[in-house]
Amino acid sequence: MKIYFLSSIVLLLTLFANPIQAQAQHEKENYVVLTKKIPQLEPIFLTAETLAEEDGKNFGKFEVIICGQTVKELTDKEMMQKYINKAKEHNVELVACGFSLNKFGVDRKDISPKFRVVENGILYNLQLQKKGYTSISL
Amino acid sequence: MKRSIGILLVLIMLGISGNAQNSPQGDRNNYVVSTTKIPQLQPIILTAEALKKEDGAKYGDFQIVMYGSNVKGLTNKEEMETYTGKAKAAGVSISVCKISLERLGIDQSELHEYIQVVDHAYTHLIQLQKNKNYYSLQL
Repeated sequence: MKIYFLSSIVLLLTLFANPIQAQAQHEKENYVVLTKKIPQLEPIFLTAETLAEEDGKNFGKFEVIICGQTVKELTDKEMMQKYINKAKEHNVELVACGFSLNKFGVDRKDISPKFRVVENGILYNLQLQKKGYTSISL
Repeated sequence: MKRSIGILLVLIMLGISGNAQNSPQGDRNNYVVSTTKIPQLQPIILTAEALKKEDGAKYGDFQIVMYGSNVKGLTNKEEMETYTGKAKAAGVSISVCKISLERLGIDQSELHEYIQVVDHAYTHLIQLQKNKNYYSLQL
């Protein structure tokens, strides 16, 4: 009798535990956008705003990777501050590509600490896609 | 008794081989990156090297698709040699859009031998994403 009881508990646990785990994985929607032009941040923020509304509680992370020659403009602190404020408002994380900074001679001290620098923006994007992020490149 | 064990064994083996057939395509990580600029080959190949290490046995296919007016550089065999050795080592194939070649009047025989040709870059990219679940990035 005891054995029946225990085994039925185990059965119930396995039945219920699995769907819960599966749901947890799909709970959040994450996004990554790779862009080569800083002015594109404007429409990207609008996108994040719409998706946050659409996803509601399921809205996860929204990251923007900035790559290419445009990284030179990151040193324009006044212009960048506007974007940084808006990014904060829309829960968008700003990321700069380290390869691009090196290539175009941008010193990391000259850009806002609000930017996270990753070594290789291309690699970082593909790694996020592997984690299930929805991606677009502009 | 012997017979039923035999049948069971066959069934188990069928099950295993069935699974094995599914996994090579389904479980591996495949990537495609498109670009219009030849110097971009360098960071893309570095990316492939890093992913190869990260994925281990799960690393599948890595393709670079080039298009646009800069593909003329793919005929510069000496310059291409600096990329193709590393590309080969990292399991990266490099292909070029046929339409771009035609527009620039480049004959396929002028290309570095490592370079493959696809009919249409955009169609190729979409097909890889649609049919083969490639992770994709356009630079």
